[in-house]
Amino acid sequence: MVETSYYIALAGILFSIGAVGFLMRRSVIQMFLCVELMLNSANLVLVAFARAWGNLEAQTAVFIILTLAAAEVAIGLAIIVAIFRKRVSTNVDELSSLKG
Amino acid sequence: MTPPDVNVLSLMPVLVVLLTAVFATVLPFYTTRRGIAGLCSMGLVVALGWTVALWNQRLSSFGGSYVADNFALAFSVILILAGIAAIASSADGIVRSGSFPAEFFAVMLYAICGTMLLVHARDLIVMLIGFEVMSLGVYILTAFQARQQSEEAGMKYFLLGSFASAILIFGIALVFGGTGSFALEGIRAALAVAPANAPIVAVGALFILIGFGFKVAFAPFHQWTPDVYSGAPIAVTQYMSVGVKAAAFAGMLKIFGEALPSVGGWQTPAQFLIALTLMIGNLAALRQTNFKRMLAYSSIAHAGYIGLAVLSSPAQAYPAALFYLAAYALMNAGAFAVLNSISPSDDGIKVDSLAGLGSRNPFLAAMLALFLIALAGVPPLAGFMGKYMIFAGAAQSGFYGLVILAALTSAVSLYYYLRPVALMWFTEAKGFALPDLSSGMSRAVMVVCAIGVVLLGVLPSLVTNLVSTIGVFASR
Repeated sequence: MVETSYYIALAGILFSIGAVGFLMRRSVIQMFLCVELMLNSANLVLVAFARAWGNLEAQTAVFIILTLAAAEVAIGLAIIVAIFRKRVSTNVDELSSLKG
Repeated sequence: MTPPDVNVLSLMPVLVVLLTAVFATVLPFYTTRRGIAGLCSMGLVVALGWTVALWNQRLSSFGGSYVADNFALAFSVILILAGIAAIASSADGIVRSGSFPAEFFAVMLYAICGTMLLVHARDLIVMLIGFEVMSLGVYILTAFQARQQSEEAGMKYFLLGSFASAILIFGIALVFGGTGSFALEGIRAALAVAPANAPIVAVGALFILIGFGFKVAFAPFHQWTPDVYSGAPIAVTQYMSVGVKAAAFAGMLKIFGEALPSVGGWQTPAQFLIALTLMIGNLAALRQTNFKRMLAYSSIAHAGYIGLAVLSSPAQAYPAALFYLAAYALMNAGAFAVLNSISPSDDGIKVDSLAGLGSRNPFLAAMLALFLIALAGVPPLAGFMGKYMIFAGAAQSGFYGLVILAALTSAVSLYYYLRPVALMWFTEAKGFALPDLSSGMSRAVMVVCAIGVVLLGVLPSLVTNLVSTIGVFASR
C-alpha cells in the first residue's frame, strides 16, 4: 500500500502546475484547463485522505466537486463562445477595454 | 435504517427561492417580463416571511449540515432585501438599454438561492455548493448583456472566480485531510484534541482564506473587482457588491471564527491582506473619475473594514459584522439604485457630470448625498455605528495597529465620498443633463434604504438587541 504522503505530494505538484499554468498561459481555453487540473488535484487529495481516515464522506465530496466542475465548464464555455463570436480570439491580453 | 434527517420547515426560505427560480425559468414562454419580475419579487417576499417566522427556532437538517440559526436567518434577510432591490433597479435598466431576456430574474434567484445556502451551511461541502451556485449565477449575470464590456467583465470574473474556487476546494480538501471531518463542529473538535497534521490544516486554512479573499475582494486579490463591477449591468453590480459580499463574509466568519480559530498560520496573512485592502481600496478610489469605478473601489475598502471582524472573536464579531453588513447593504444598494437611474449607459457616469444635480433633480441628489455621507461613516448615519462596532471589536481583540490604519484610511475616504456631494449641491450644472430613469419601484427602494440608513444610525439598538446573541452559539 502506497503511503498517503505520496498522493499528497503528487496532488501538490499537479496543483502547482495548474496554478502556474493559469498565470502563464494567455489562451482562455488553456487557462480553463489549468483550473480543471487544480480541481482534480483537490479530488486526488480528497480520495487519498478518505482512504487514510477510512471515511467515505470525502469520496462522495469528489462526486460533488466533479459536478461543480462540469457546471463551471458549461458556463465558462458559453461565455467564451459569446466573446469569440465578436472578437474571433481567445487571447486574454485582448480583453482590455476595461481599465483604471 | 434511519430515515434521512430532513426538517422541511428549516429549508423553507431556500426552497421558496429555489421554486420561484424554477418557475421563473419556465414561465417566460407564457408570460411577460414584467410578470416574471413580479413573481420573483413575490417569491422573495414569501421567503422573507419564512425567514422571519423561523427566527429563534434554530431548526436543523441533514445532521447539522444545514442550520437555520439566527445568524443564518439574519444574513438571509440582508440577502433577500438586496435581491428585491436589485430586481427593482433592473426595471430602470430596461428603460435605458432596452429589454433583456426574462431569464435574468431566474438566474438572479438561483444566485440568491446559492448565497442563502452558503449562510445556512455548517459543513464545508454544503458551503462549497452554496458558494458555487452563487458564483455561477453571478458569472452569467455579469456577462448578461451583449455589450462588449459586459462580456469582457463576465470572462474576467469567470476566469479569476474559477481559479479562486479551485484554490478554495484544495484548501477544503487539506483541512479535511488534517481533521477527518467536513462539519464545522467536527473540525473544531478534532483540532481541540490533537492536531495530528497541523501544517496541513494551516496550509488549508490559508488556501481557504485566499479563495474567499478573491470573492470579497481582499487586496491583492481585488484586481478583477473594478473591471467586473464597472463592466457588469448596474443592477448586477448592485447585487454583487451587497449580496455576494455579505454571503462570502458570512462563510468566512463561520469557517474562521468557529472551525479554525485555534489554527495558526492564517491570522498573520489575514492581517496583511486587510491592511493592504484598506490602503489600496481607499487610495485607488481617490483617483477615479468614473463614479461606478469609484464605488467599486469603495466596496473594496469596505471589505477591509468588515475583514477586521473576521479576526475578532465570534461573540463580538458576529453582531458587529452583521450590523455593518446590514448598514452597508442599505447604503450601497441605495447608492447603486440612484446611480442606475441617472446613468445614460451601463458604463456609469463621470463624477464631474454630477455637477448641479441638486438643482435639477433634488430628490435623487438628496438620496445619493445621504448614501454617500453614510458610506463615508459620518455620524449619526448607519455607516458610523457600523464602523464603531467593528473597530471596537477589533480593538478588544488587540488589533490596535489595524484599527488605527482603518480609522486613518476612512478619514481619507471622506474626500472621495464628499466630493460628489459638494459637486451636486454647490456647483452649477455644465454641459449635458443626466437622465432620470427612476421608476416608482426604484424610488421606493431608495426611500426604504434611506429610512433604514437613518434608523440604523440613530437607533442601532433596534438591530443590535436582536442579534446580540448570535455569536454565543458559535463560541460554545
